[in-house]
Amino acid sequence: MAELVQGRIWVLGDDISTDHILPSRYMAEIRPEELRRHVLEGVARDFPRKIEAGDILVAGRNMGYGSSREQAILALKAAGIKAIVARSYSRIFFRNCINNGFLAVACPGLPKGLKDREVMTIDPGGGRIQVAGEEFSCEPFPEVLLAVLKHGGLIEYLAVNPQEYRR
Amino acid sequence: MGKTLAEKVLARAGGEKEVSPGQIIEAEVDLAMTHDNNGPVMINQFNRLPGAKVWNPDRVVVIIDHHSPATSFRAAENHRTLRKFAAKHELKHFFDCGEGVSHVILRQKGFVKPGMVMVGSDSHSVAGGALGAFATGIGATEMAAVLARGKLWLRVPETVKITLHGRLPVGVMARDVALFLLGQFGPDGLDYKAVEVHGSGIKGWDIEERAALCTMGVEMGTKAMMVPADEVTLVYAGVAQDLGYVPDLDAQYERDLQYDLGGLAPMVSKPFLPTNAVPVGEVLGTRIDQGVIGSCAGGSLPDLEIAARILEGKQVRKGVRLIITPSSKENWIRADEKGLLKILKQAGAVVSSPACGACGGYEIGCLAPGEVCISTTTRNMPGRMGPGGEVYLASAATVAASALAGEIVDPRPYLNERPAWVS
Repeated sequence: MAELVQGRIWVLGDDISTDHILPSRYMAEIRPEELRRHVLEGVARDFPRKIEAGDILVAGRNMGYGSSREQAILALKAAGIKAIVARSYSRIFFRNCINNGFLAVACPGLPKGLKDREVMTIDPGGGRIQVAGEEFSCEPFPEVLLAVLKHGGLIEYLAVNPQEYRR
Repeated sequence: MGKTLAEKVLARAGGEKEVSPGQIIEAEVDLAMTHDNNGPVMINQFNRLPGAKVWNPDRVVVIIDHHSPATSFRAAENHRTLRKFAAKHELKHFFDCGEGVSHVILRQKGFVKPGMVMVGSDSHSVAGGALGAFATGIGATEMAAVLARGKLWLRVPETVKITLHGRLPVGVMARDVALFLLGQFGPDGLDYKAVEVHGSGIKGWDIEERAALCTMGVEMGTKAMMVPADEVTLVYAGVAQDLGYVPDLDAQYERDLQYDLGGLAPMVSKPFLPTNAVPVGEVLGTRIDQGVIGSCAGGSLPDLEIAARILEGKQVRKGVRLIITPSSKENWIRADEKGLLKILKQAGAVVSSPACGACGGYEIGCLAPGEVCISTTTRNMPGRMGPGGEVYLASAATVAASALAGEIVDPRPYLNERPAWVS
């Protein structure tokens, strides 16, 4: 959680829905290695081929709009995407990211005009990102989310806190 | 200080005397629903919790609706996974293929009650707000945790009050009001907000019509879209008396907005956002290849009735496919008893068994690249019904009339005559 994350960015627009990230026609599939082959196909058919492990997605407002499908995040993770930085998030998608231990950072002041393949550095602990020679601050995580992120996801958190669920 | 409906429900569920927006609470869940689209991922996650048991098997509903009856070998395996999980954990409420869309089953089978906290692993779970419940969508992992814990953290949302005045003109439906409001707010205009819907405009609406409005609320980001319980709600839900889950008269709203329904035109949402809503007049003449009446926000009995009124004795335009998927078995049977299905079939419609149907391109009613569909389904993002296809969202009346014309038309001229069977 405190570790810096660095990678090339892919720049997306506003209102990128989970239908963009993983079209609903693939929803009967739940194997990550299959899902990754269709990641972001709703944005561009060749997206799955462009992504390399360690890349970062940069999005505008309302990232993850629409369906609650968690296959969208399974696909992003399986494709090797390390993190998302967006101006704002749709609420279910944001919770899904954190619950899967997937770094999703809200940065309302993110500038427009960032270019694909620029390198971004995220300092999740310090709440800062660096890109294109500039530094921006990110929204802090509420404590409930921080605990989940630190453990790598909600299931991982509960597994070491078994008093919190029925056995 | 007065409290909104959402604040009252969340205070009760959180074991607090009262709550305020921004506060994070741990809410007890009254009802949890999962289905075949997200259930298999949920089960994978649940099984990673050592020794986990379902907190209360009587409060969990599992429904097969998205790929139903099994539309692929993979879907069939997912269905089997769900059946085994339900049997192993002795989940009593399991609805298999053909029962209908989850959100519709939950209300028609009496699971949703006013004042509940209900979560579903589906964004359109906001549908439960039609009965005055705080109903919201969550992901599969969160649902695995809810099944093991019976609770989840929630941030108390700000509430926006929307008052609808006046009476809808003939041929303008609850679904048109939903699209109109989506157009007013945009795709994140009410993100994270609870919405309370009030006013004389919806007093005469039945629960199916209220649900058509509330279900679509999530397309502008709402966390919960609630109609405070009134006489219609209490009769429908079989609740003997008001449980106190109504907002205080002096409740504090983030915004208090008024709309008049009297002058509303039929609305159409253009590709590729449900919020791209315009009056039908702006898209007249758009050629269509397919019409769809179905989904959790279409396919109700009022939808099937108005479609039958428009299609009776006429024929769907040659070259156009009209697919009608009643949203539940109950709607299907009642439509059949009223003779509606016969009218629809004779007009050339394909009537398929109750399920999510063509809404997400779930192997039913898919589009080829360049094809255009007008539909009562919930979403029209790129590729929703197939790559390269375009989806326009509209009411059942607009879809039925457009299917006759082969292009998008205003349904109102098709409703001048009132057939004898219309009650």
